[in-house]
Amino acid sequence: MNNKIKEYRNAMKLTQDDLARAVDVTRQTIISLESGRYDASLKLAYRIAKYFKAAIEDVFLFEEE
Amino acid sequence: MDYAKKLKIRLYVAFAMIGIGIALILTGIFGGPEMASSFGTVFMVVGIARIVQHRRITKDPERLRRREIAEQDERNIMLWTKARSLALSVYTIGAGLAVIVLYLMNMGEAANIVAWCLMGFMVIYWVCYFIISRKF
Repeated sequence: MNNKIKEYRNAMKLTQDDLARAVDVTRQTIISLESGRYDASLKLAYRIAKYFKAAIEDVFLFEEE
Repeated sequence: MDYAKKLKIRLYVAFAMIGIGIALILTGIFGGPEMASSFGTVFMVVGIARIVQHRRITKDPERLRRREIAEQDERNIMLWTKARSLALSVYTIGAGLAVIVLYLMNMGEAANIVAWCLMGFMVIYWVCYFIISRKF
């Protein structure tokens, strides 16, 4: 699953650490999400999208395999 | 369960470990005086280390928050779960191979002990797995 976390984060001028603190995860999780190595749970996806004031489907791009 | 409660339980466990350690050293009821004092010392040292760790964490709010996030981070939990699962598989295969190697080395008695321990462990594991998997 692709995502636009990095784009949203850069637009808000946030560091990975800032975002990690805001959504209560470690910075390593944000790094893994941005690099596509890890897919967020629905709960985390919701928290991230809410923090960016965006819809989940705008931040996380689901692709049928 | 909230994190503060979790930490409190861990602190009680640490005190319990120290208590068990002292009891083992004083009574020497487990495997004779020497073995009991060894086990007792280990229990006490681990208990004390945990209390020191608890104090370090709770004294520094920033460290406490970082620790809480790290322990509740979903990716960390996934990694720990995967690692535990893999470790169990490696352990089982390793013990199985050890049984074969011990038999080939004509160490039948040792092979039997390892095999029975492995079998007992697997029975306990699958019973626990069956019970716990029905809870979720």
